[in-house]
Amino acid sequence: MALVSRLDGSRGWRDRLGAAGLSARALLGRPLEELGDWPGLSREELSRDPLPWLALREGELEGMYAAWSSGSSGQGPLAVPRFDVDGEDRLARFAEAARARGVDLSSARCGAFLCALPGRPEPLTWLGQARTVPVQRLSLLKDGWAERLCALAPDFWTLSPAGLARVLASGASVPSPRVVLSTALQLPGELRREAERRLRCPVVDLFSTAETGPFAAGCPADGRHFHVLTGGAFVRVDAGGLRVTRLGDSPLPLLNYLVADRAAGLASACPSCRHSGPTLLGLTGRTLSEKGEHSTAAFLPRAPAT
Amino acid sequence: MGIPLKPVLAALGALPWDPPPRGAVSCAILSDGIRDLGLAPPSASAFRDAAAACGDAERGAVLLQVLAFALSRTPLGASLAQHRPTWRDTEKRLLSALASMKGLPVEQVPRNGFRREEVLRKFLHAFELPIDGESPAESATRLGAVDFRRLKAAMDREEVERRRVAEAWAKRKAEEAAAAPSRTGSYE
Repeated sequence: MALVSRLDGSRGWRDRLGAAGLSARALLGRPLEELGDWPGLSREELSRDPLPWLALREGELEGMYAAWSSGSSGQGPLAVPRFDVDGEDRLARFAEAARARGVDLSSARCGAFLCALPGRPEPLTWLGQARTVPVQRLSLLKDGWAERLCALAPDFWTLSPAGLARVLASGASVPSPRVVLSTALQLPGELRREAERRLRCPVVDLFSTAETGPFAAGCPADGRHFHVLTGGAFVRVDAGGLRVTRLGDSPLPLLNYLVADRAAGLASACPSCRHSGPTLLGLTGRTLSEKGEHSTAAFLPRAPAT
Repeated sequence: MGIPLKPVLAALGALPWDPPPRGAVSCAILSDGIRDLGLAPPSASAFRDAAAACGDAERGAVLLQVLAFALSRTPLGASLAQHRPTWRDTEKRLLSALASMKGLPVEQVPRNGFRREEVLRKFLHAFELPIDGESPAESATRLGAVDFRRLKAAMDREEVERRRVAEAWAKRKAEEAAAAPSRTGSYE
């Protein structure tokens, strides 16, 4: 199990587990449901000094960059290390979320990251220099983005609600992707429905953090519930707090990681649709707000999407 | 039956450390121990060469005192008499034992059980004396685990790596902060 060897390679995790009389090896063969007894890590601790929690392998340091975790759910923004190699896991979660909506991305030719952020372009490594599917970044703030998007004709888009609102507001005629994956902040239901109607494809509201990557996808029937992407994460709700264990291989291993978001509960199946996997109920955290510099609202165009 | 290292170490840890046998006395005690093995003791010059082999004659002399202390005050001395090595190059092995202790911080020996264990294990290893309850492979593994030089080298490597990661992280953060002033609205 990739997580075990990464935890073993991290000084912080070795010390933390050792202090509890545990070792990462003891995780092997144990059901994930027992993780409740295991030590975890909070967002605050990680942001104070992320370095002890890393388990780097040869050559991975060169692919490290600072990603800023928004303050929409508490303190912030906080810098967390992310790595080129995380990109593959992120794409795998995209594929998992798309599959649940009947879209198979296994044969995808390319994707597009439609960036609505001002400032320097996000490095492509934000999604990893993915070996399997190239993801091209296009800035929505630069002229000619629609033409470039037409030329690229990507199988999927990934963007924030702000980016999606900007695309719709532009009225540009662009080829519809097979699926749209919205991340970063909560996607308003109205915006999702409008996008699905106009783009004629599923629009998935992914719940994601800079630290963990995407780990839940909004229920298509009821945007309040989120289906856990079980291929990449094991999620618990502990006194309302979300604890995420990343199952994929990452230089930043996370066990029982307490993200700053909250949920009312975790059901074994979705109460609103036929989804039979773990579902987060009443998820809150990265919501839109009228003010606050860390919110998507700061980037939403004044004019409503038409 | 091998050398009962555990009780030897326990006894050594419980003893008041001062004063250890000094100079010629410690060499005499070691000579007696070696005689108990059925071997001719090293010459005075061989003891001096062995002491120098650890890199510093003065520190080497202290290590010989530690061995003498263990021989005279713990079950180690008595257990040697039960062994009859087939080799005869005693002086060479004593030299090799002390040479393997190069870099060992002798000042830590009185208060650090791992360092005492290292001294005794290196001596027993050089003299090919088996340790009670351990296979040769287990003894070699344990010797590696308490080897100060090896541990220090690993820690030094880890420290270099830690600094490299810290510098890279500080640089990446600074680059991002400088290049994206409006990053406060960043994703996730």
